[in-house]
Amino acid sequence: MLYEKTVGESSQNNKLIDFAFRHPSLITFLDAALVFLDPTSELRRRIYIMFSILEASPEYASSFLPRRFSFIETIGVFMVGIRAVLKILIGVIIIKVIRL
Amino acid sequence: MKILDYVVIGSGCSGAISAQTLVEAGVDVTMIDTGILNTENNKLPANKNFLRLRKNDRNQYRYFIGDHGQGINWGEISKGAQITPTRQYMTKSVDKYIPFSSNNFSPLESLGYGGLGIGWGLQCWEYSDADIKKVGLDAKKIRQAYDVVAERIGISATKDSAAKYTIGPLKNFDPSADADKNHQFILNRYQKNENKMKKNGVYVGRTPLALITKKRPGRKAYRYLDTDFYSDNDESAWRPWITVNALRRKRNFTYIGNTLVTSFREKDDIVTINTLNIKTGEHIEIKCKNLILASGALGTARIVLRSFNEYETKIPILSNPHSYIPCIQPAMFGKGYESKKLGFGQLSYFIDPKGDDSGISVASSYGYQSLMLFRIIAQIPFNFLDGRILARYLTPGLIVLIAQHPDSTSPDKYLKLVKDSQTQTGDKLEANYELTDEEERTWDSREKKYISILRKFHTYAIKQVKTEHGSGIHYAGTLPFSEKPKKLALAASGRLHNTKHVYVADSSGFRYLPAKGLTFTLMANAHIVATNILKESK
Repeated sequence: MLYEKTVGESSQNNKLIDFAFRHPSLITFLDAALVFLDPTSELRRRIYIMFSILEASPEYASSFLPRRFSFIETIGVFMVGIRAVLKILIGVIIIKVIRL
Repeated sequence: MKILDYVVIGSGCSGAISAQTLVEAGVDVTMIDTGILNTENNKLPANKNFLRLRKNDRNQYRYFIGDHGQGINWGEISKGAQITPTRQYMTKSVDKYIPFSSNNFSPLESLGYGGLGIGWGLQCWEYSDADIKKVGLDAKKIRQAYDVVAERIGISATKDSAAKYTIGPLKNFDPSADADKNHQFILNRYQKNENKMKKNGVYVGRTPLALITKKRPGRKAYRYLDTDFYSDNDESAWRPWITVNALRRKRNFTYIGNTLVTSFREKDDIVTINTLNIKTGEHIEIKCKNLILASGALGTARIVLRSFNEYETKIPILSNPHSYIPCIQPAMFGKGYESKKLGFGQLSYFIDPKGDDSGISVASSYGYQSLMLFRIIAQIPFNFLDGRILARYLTPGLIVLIAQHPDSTSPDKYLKLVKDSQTQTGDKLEANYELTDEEERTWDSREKKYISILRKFHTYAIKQVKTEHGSGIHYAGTLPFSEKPKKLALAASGRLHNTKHVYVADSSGFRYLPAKGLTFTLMANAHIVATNILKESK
């Protein structure tokens, strides 16, 4: 059920996924841009499934549980937000380039 | 062929309660039920709380996301999205045996052991006298029946300032389970401004739940294991199967499973029931003196329409329109994991400027902690990696409000049974459900009021998700009560007009559907119908 969609992928999605496999360090940028360009894209769906599997594994469960944040860490969270916005901008540029 | 005395169809909330009333009166009762069980290997280990399971259990994927990934739900929220993998057996084989088709109505039905009660949210609100009257029931009898049902299933509640709207004059109940920090935060703010709020017709109080906080025979008091969405640990939450299991130990009760009732016919004071064995495919006839239909408003409608050969006949349908409103409490961000958490609805919100508890909407709020974080991460407009960090920070401040609205009949809300040779039963139920513009506007403005009230409690809505019609699991009104004998309608006793010994114990007779969840009232009605049958069959 979860894997059916891969069969009929569009060529654009294929291109994006091939690129992601070749450059795994750039996946986070592609993901960030796709939130706005194509939120239900195949790449995001695959990341979503991977996250669900990781979350349901005892080795990684702690990384998905709510935790207490100190004041300094709270500032860190805001920095993460700013970083995430920058990733969107970079991701949009990458996608525009590889789709050309 | 043996002629049975009393036959109850269905093991859901109304079937379980009506059967119990009959069994306690000492008569011989047979329950006929499809009774599909959970055969997946996905039960939660007993006595472990959510945190321990998350950190230690290698098999947790089975109950959190399911062997086939059925708990993952990518994309739009669809019907049944709230049902976790361990409870998904409740919808098994539904498409095969009770097919349904509609472009604008998407109900959830069950052939499981315990019916829709398997996934019930346990809310036990009492209807007001005015609403009971509009439904077509007797307020005095229903109030007495509420007490009987509460005694049987066990309810926890609080006599707070919203008690008039939540439990009314209910006599016996356990104290509510402790509210979590998010809801205590709201309650504290409400209590500070209570008089002013009440003047504006705003009432907030603890939601009454079919959840025991004091030990009962065979059932433990609620222990805050925080696995409520996945398991019926300790049987502290009441489910219909608990009652049916207890009845099966009685000498005057017989349970026939794997059996779908398709139709009936009545002749010479004997009712012949046509059934289909879902294991063997065999068609079997069962004869009885009294038939009690308790298959839910949709299931009963199918059986009755088919029995009277009423194909293409439009009958009404009622269902509570509802919306999900996720909200944030910034004061709770970054507060970490809360060890004592309740997964069920915790607070009820009522806006009633007229103060008559009639025609109002209701909202109830839930914590989010024991649901998986990956769903939240996907909703954050960032990449998954950074979204995970933010979600861990934000989740302690997340609650979900569910707003429900009343429903009245209209020519644009109807069901009909149509022939379909492709299905097991040769037919299927079709529906059309459209709200009027006036209803749309009213429900929307009420939801906006809820959102504005929550802001006063420093709780902010981030989204308003209108769900598909019918996905709220509350259905009624298909065979409305009618004092005058009329086809496809019920007498006040619950007897189906134009029959002598066929009764309906579920919500099919309700002429109006108040916003407060109907389950407690349909159980009270099931008790009354069973009592009426005993009187009339003497």
